[in-house]
Amino acid sequence: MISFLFQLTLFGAGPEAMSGWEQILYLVPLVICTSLVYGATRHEDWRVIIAEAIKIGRWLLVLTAGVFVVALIVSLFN
Amino acid sequence: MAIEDEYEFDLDLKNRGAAALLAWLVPGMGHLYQGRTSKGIAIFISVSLLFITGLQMSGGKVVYCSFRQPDIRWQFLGQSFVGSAAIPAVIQNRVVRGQEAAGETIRPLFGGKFSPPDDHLERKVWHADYHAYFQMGTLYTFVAGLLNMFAIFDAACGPMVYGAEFIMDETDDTDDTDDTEGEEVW
Repeated sequence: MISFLFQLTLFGAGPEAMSGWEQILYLVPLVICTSLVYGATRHEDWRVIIAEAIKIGRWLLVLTAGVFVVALIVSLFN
Repeated sequence: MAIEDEYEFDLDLKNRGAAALLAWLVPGMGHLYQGRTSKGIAIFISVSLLFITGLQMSGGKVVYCSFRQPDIRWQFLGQSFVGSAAIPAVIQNRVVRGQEAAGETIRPLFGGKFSPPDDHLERKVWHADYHAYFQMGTLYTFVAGLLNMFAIFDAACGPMVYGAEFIMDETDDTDDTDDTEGEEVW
């Protein structure tokens, strides 16, 4: 059952089949799902939910990019 | 029960306990029970996709229940908000620990899905096999569980609207009574 569900996902091939920058695609479901559910649990109207989700998604992307840059800089000195 | 939001809609939460239980068992099911179909479907797809993605990237190893040294799986507390995964994990834990205590050969159910590692060495093998994806899978399933916690709250109590500002009725300035009721602006 689990294996079948895996095949339904966008990344059914598994992480070992993805290399380099392709792995950043894992960020897409995280940002979309998190922002959508976060918005949906705070509003009832879909227009507001979508607007909230876009705002939260943008914030998440900026935060992730910031952490990435900090981690990149730190790695340069190690 | 009717709750008025900024768009003046009536929201029938029906049996709130049943809705919360259904939302815990299957993400979005509580909303479907309340007739909030589009929201239920969105929550089901979002939480399930995130949870399955986390399982997929880690070979399905990251969701298990273990609270015994040296493997204190505190992340399971977050993952357990997805009941359909938490229940088999707890059953596996009870089955495996029971077999260990009886000195029997460990034979987990469901082909070993949601089963805790046999020992510390097997857990190390999992980490070695999946490297960072073990941690990422844990994070994804943990976040999915926390998101479903919000969804359970939403099913039980309605949307958690925030940012409310209350304007005091300025015409009552001369009134000595502390009237806190006023127009709500969102």
